[in-house]
Amino acid sequence: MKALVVLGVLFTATAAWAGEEWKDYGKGIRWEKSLDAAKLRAIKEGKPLLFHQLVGDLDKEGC
Amino acid sequence: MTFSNQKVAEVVNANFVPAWFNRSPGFKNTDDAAEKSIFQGASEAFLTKNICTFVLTPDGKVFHYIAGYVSPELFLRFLEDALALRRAGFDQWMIQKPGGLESLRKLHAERAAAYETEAKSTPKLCGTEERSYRDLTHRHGDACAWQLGETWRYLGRVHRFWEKTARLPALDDVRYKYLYGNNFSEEGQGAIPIASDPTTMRGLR
Repeated sequence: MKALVVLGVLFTATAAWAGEEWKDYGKGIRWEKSLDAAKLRAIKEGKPLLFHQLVGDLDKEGC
Repeated sequence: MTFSNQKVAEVVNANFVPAWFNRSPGFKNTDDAAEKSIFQGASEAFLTKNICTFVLTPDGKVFHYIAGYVSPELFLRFLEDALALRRAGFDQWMIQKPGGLESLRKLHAERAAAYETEAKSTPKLCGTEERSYRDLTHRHGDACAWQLGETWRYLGRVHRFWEKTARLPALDDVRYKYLYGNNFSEEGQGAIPIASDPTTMRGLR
């Protein structure tokens, strides 16, 4: 029973986020793939958005 | 470096929904010398117009931002400010509270005053341990203290801007027009340029 509860919590936690874990730079932050996707999750979770605009691709260490 | 920091990741994941956007598709970072120079000469902060991190409501209204690179310690402080604003202006579902805008403006004014005061004092550097980035290492020196003072002045200006803002702007109204600390930028030809900031630190001197 305890294992089922743990699995349920894990499923709920991961189901809320549709992004991908990064392997290297920026590892740890759960980036959404787009601003629109982030807005949807922000509404669902009641959180503010953190929108990082840069020159280059962040996953390739843009500036 | 900042987004690789474990504490930054924890705070971001627990309290925000993060996304990023490349405003210069096709850009390839080939200026390794500039990267190294910035890391070694401006490890605390490099408030370039190249980058900006915005804090938004779920429906896309901006209520805070910071331009450029800042160290993990300074970015955590920025996140603390953003969360204080979030609590002051919005309910648990991020709906603006009655009087929320006034609360935001009041808190921005308080933060502006605090950063302005801090800018006049001797900068207290964020830790003294050696930092690393790629194959480089850095230990704080006088230049870092100068950068920190400039950061407090910049944040004071940003909070004063928000203090005087009568309504929260949509992202598109500010994403290419914001306050920054220096003019360094390296976007490609196809990028939408950032509007010039007449109050850049360089311009003030």
